[in-house]
This record gives sequence, C-alpha cells and structure tokens, in this order.
Amino acid sequence: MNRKGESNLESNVIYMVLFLLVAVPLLVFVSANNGGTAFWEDFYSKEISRAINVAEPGSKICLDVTKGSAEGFDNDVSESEMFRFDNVNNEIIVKFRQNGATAYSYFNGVDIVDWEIIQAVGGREINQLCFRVVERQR
Amino acid sequence: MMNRKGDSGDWVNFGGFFLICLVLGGGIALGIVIFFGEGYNFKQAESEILFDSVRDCFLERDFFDEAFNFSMCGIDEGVLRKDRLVLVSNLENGEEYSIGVRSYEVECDLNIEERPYCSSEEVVKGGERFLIITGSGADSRRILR
Repeated sequence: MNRKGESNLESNVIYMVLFLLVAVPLLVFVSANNGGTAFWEDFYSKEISRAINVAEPGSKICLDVTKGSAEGFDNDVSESEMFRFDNVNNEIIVKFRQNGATAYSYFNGVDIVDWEIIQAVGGREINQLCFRVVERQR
Repeated sequence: MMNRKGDSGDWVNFGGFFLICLVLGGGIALGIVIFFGEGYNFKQAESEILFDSVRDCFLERDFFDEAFNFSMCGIDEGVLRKDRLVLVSNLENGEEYSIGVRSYEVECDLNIEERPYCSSEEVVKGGERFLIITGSGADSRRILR
C-alpha cells in the first residue's frame, strides 16, 4: 500500500544518502588540506627523499622542519609520529594531521636509522629532523 | 494504485538538489586547490638526481651483463620499477637496457600537466657512445595511518 507518508520517507532517505555522498568526500578533502597541511606533508616528504637520494652511507643529516612540525603540533600529532622511515619499502612517511599521512619513496638503497626531532638552540626556535644514513642491513 | 499524480512531486527537485551539492562541493574543492596550489612538483629534480646516480653507476658497471642489478650501485630496483625510468641505449649497435616505466620516454615530451619529467645525456664509455635517459613520474601517496 503506497501511502503518502512512506513515499516521503523514502525520498528523504535518498536525498540524505546523496547529500552524504557529496559531503563526506568533501569534508575529507577539506580537512586534509586544512591550513595547507597536506601541502607541507607533500613538500617535506619530497625534500627529505631528495636529501636521502644524494646521501652516502655513514652520513648524518639534519634538516630544518620548523614549519611542518608546527603544523603537526597544532594538530596534536606527537613528535614520534611526524616523521617515520619505512626501510622495507624505502619510504619516508610524514604526518602533520590526525586523519592521514603522506608517503614518498627514495631510490637510494640505504637504511635510515636513529631519526629524531631536536630543538636547535638559537635566536629563534628551530626544529630539526636528524637521521643517520647507513648501508642496507638486509 | 501506482504512480499517483501527487507522488511525482517528491522527485521534482531531485536533479536540482544533486546539482547544487556538486556545484557547492566542486567550488569549495576548487577554491582550496587554487589557494594552496596543486602540490610540489618534484619530478624534474628527481629525474636529475637519478640521472647522476645512474651515470656514475653506468661508468663503473656493465648494464648489459645479465648478472647486473642496481643494488650493485646502491640503488633500489623495486623503487625504480614503479614510477621511474632508466633507459640506456648503445648508439653504435642499438642495444638497450631499461628498467621502470618505458612509456616515459615518450610521455616526457608531451605537453600535458601530469606528465613525467626526464633527463638525458650522451655518455662515452670504452670508445662507444651511449644515451642515458632517466625519468620520474613519481608523486607522494596519501595514506591513512
């Protein structure tokens, strides 16, 4: 029995589903780009990969990551989560937001160890990501 | 009784509603892309760094030897196979060695936004001329962790 009330409910549900289909991906996109966070993740992952690609095993590298780490701290991302190295897949993973991260691969066949963020003492507060490049250990 | 006249009113605004959602959503997304840019294009820089590494390796090793692999030069072959190209052509006899996305050789010359970038140069080794082409179409990957 096609009562009018049932028909309204059905159409409202369909409208809601359609709205969610557009709104959810949009919210994910907007939150990922909030304050340019996704841009900074992309930028740092590529620049760190550049440094690794030209590095020789045995080097220690320190890079200024002040701008990016400030984004991470603003979004309550812990220091240990902001930069990670996946030595199995040769990837640097940068995370400055709660709901995602950005990964980029480097072709230099080395392992990255002992990475940490340190606060350099100086005229202004500078955060540096330091890591050591070693021969592949597999 | 099927298809009463009143029922059709529920669906009158269906198209308009969906269109408004898409226009608003698209507008917001476009605004963000315009404001923050489309990301950091690193392909040209990476193809040049890769070229330097490959040229150094080529001058030390024989790429045309079956036993050759890039780990001998400290380069990860797994990464090269995905979104990168290394192509070495012997210009004297036409012999070729390649690893990665072979189509980049052509795609690098296309005038499209998302194209890969290549670096190339002639190198002389053992009295023979070789053309080395390296390319990168790599981009960062969004992950959920």
